[in-house]
Amino acid sequence: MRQEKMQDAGEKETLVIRALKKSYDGVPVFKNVNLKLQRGGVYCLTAPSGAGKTTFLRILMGLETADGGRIEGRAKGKVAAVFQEDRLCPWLDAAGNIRLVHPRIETALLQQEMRRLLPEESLSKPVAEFSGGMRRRVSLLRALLSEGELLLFDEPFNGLDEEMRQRALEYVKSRRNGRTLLFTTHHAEEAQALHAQKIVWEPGLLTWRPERGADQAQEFT
Amino acid sequence: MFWLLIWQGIAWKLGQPIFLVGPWEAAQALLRLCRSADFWQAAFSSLGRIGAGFSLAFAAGIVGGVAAYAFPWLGELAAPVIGLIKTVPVASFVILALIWAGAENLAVIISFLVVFPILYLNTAAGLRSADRQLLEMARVFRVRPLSKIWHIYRPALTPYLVSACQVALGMAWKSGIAAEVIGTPARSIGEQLYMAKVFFSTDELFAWTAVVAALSFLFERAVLALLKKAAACGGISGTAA
Repeated sequence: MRQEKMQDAGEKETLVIRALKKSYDGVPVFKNVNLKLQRGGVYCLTAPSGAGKTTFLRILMGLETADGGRIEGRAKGKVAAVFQEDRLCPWLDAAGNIRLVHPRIETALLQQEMRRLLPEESLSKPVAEFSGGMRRRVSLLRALLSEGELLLFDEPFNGLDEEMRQRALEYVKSRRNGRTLLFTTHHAEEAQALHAQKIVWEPGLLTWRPERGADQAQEFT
Repeated sequence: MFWLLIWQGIAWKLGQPIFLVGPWEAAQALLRLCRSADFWQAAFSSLGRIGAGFSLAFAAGIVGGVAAYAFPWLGELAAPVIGLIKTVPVASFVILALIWAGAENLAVIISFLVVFPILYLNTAAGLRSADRQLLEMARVFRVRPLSKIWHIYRPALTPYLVSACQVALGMAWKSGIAAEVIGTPARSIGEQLYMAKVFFSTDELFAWTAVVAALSFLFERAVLALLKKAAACGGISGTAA
């Protein structure tokens, strides 16, 4: 019965996570995570440091394997990520880094979008010469300009000053184009600004659940 | 210049041209040798043999290193063979190659055997040094394999290749010429060095040594310039595309 419901739901959901668990050296990081993320939704994963947010995202990205459970719907589309580290090729300029993940992007569009977050004089420089904040913006540009359908961002606004954080938040809103976004943050105002559905940490159960009163993310029990 | 003067002074003081000649006598011998066709034939023939050995080892070392990186079991399988090639004295290889393959291609085989392990090990190490985080990024974004090779593996590999070539080029020349001296293939620098020894022509010995040093230096410059050019192309820009 539950399986049938899941298959019906598959049309609407981007990601269905069932009974996901992960441990390191026998110490559980999280267990029994059951979530449904709807296509086009914006979700914010909140938890104290060390609760396994990055590990959870890495599993969703396919970079780590869970000890148990299932993830359905991930294979349907490409994934785009903003990692905790910028992970840019330092010898390439901003455009080179973006083209690496999206070789077919139109030059005019690329130029126009880069100018929204980066100063004009930086565009011809390798990112090795960029400040930390500028590199962060390139990471955001790379993910949002890529063809990824599922956006997984790990603390994407870290290292940005207040003014630039607001611009970056606006940019994410305008360039998300209806794609599903799951991001982690320690700042409640970032979740608010993006009208994100909060997925909160249950320390006693070592799991995540949608914040009460939520109508988007659903939890299996 | 200072050291040349010291050298010339010692040679003059000794006054025994069989034991030691000065740079002036060596330069005169070199000029004399340059006028004969045999000189150029020997120089180009040795350059060709050692160049061929180096080039083959360069290509095989890179292919082998890539294979060892891509298939670690292959690397483990090859490890004892590579270890053996590294530890067996060059002289033993020279004698064996002389018995098995003759003198003609001796320098090719010996240069190859000396250079191959250096390139092989450095290629595998260079690929292993590629940034794990960038490789993960490429995996998540499904970056095309050729772009991954060009933008992530190539920058990691280049410094290893440059340093491997700096060591291997000198070794190729030293071992290649030593092999020629033992095997004395016709029309080779090794044969000329051997003849200089037989006839106690110390001035020609120094002249040929200078030729080897010059050829080795020029060959190294040319290979490193090519490598640096290959490393630089591709540039930084994705804007103009």
